[in-house]
Amino acid sequence: MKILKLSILELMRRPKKNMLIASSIVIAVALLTSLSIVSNSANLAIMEIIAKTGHTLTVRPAASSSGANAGGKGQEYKLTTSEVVLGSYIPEAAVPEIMKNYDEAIKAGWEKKGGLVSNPGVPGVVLEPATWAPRLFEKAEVNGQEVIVTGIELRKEYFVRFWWNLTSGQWPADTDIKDVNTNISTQYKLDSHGNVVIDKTSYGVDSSGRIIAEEEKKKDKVAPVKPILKGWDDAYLGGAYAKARGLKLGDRLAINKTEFTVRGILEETNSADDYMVFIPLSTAQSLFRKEGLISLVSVRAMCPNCPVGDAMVELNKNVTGITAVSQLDVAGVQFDFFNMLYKFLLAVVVSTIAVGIFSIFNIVTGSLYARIREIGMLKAIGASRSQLFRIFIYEHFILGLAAGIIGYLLGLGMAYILNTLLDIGAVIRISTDFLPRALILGVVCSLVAIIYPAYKLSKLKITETFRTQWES
Amino acid sequence: MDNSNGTAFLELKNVNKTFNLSYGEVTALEHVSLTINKRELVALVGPSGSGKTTLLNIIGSLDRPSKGEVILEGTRIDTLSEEELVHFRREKFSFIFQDAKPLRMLNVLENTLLPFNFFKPKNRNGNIRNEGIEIIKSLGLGHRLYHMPSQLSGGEIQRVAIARALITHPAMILADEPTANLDRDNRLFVIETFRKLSKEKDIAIVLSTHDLEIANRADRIVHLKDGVFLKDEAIACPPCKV
Ligand SMILES: Nc1ncnc2c1ncn2[C@@H]1O[C@H](COP(=O)(O)OP(=O)(O)O)[C@@H](O)[C@H]1O
Ligand SMILES: [Mg+2]
Repeated sequence: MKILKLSILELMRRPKKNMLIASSIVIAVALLTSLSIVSNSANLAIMEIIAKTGHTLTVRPAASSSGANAGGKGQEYKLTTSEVVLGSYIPEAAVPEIMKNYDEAIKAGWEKKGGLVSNPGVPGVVLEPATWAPRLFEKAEVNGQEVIVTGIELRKEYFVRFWWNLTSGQWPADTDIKDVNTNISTQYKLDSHGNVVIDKTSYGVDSSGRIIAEEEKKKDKVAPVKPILKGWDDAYLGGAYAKARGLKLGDRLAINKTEFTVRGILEETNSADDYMVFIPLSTAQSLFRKEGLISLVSVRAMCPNCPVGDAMVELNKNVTGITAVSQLDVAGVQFDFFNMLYKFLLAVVVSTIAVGIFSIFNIVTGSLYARIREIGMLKAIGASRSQLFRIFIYEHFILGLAAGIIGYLLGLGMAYILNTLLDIGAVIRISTDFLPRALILGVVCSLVAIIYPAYKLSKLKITETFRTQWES
Repeated sequence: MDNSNGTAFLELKNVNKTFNLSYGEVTALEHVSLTINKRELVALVGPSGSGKTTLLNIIGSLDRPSKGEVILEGTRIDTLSEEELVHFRREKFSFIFQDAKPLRMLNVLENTLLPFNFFKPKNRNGNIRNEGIEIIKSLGLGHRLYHMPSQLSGGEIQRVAIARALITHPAMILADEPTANLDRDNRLFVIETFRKLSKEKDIAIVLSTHDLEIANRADRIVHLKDGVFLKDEAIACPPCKV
């Protein structure tokens, strides 16, 4: 305790020198703290987005972008994204194979990465099975005007496109969705006589790798739908479309002469969805005589950092007749960007610290050797080697601790400034998570610089210290 | 050798000290034998470089002889380990240096009690702080108890060093040129204080000095030159010789 007191007094005795030493530690700690806080906040924000969205992968028919498909009838429409491709299809029956390949690739890639990326505090960071949603696009006459009508499985679609919101109306109840999606599409197909047809779509691949569907064969056999199940004639409208046409909840729509009721209007998402009319997939398939066919499957990975790229490569390699396109989210790109930025800045900080420690080392060594006479005196009056060593260690422990605290506080401030300057827009999360790290860094920097000289000095023979004393 | 002043406290037997330097060996002491008794005040006199400091270091166990023996109250101490020597230093010796800088951040009283930051006082009854105050007062510094070293004169600083030396109740005080930087009044004060202490408190005191006026107030003068004893003279009536 008394040695600690001597250390504290000793510290106060050289305020300027100690402030100089402390300032380089403060800077190092502040840099590292602010960097950690900003990048952590940014990462957390990004990770949350990714955790929510996952990376999505779009699986389309092979060569669908060429536009020369589907017996020459196919026409390619590009709205705001390249999502809408008309006239080429994947059989629904191919989905299990696609998903099997996808899940295996994700799992393999995930394991290759060494399991979970550790991001504590981010909800949903677990490897869950991916969810998928099919879509069938068709151009149709709605109330006399051509528009893209999209068949979707409501429940799946809503889950993949979790950002969908209704400005008015409501989603069908779970049971209804089940009726509409599962029952109609997988069990009930109605033929021209209103009889249930069990759909067993088979498909093959032609010489150019394109899936040959049997739509032509069915063309004449299947009559316009007369679905009997609840919700078959529900329609949901893209926000922009509803606005443009002045359509409201409960309005009736005629799609290719079949009547639908508007059950909901979607909030605009700045995508092709805004201009579409959505109806149940099974209804669409029957209505457009595309039984068992879909235009694409969207797959939403349920993990941040999912190796979606791996899955894409595997799918394109293993499943014929399809093209998988990874739509790495903006968030993912940002995430990589911040990781790079973080690594770069970290390297800068680490070299700053190295230089800092070196200069501290020099200052400390200088000041210690100036204290050499005093050390000799203390030894002569009975201080043991370890007591002397402790005086230095305590001094620098306190110095490092104080510098760590100040550096941490400064770092918090700098985090706000950095956040504004870099326009990261992440909410800076003040947590004490980095405080222990800041303190340890401060103390370690301070001690690293002192340990060697302190050890050498405390080992110095008394007569050597005296000699300096008596001869100077 | 004159042992009449008391019983032998410390004995050097045929001590040699050489320093190995990069350019060769330096012999600082050669064949030095010396007995120091309790209550004795000994002055080491010799020109600069004659080995006074080296001798004081060896007596006080701050350094070891290259050859020969150092015997303290019958125990050979030059072969003890550094850890064992710490105890001897704490219990037997006190040192006063020429440039007796007290610690700048401690006041007079705290500097006096400084040794007890490192070990506990032994065999004391009574408050150690009060004893410190008494010692400081006895050295005429009663009005300076809580002053900082920067506020003191050279003579006062040397008295703080003496107070610090006394607080541990040493058997022997070793003082290397304690009067070198002092004016005459203060020099006389130091040597007279030493005289008194050696007699009243049974402390053996060895000091080195250039100053014959000071040396002549000791019980005994040991003359050194180039590491060798020239003569060892007893002063019959030390103060009378001045
Ligand atoms: N630590 C040391 N290393 C090398 N030489 C030393 C050391 N201490 C003393 N000497 C040498 O020993 C001799 C005696 O020195 P010293 O005891 O300091 O003499 P004094 O105190 O009488 O001036 C000198 O030649 C000095 O240079
Ligand atoms: Mg000397």
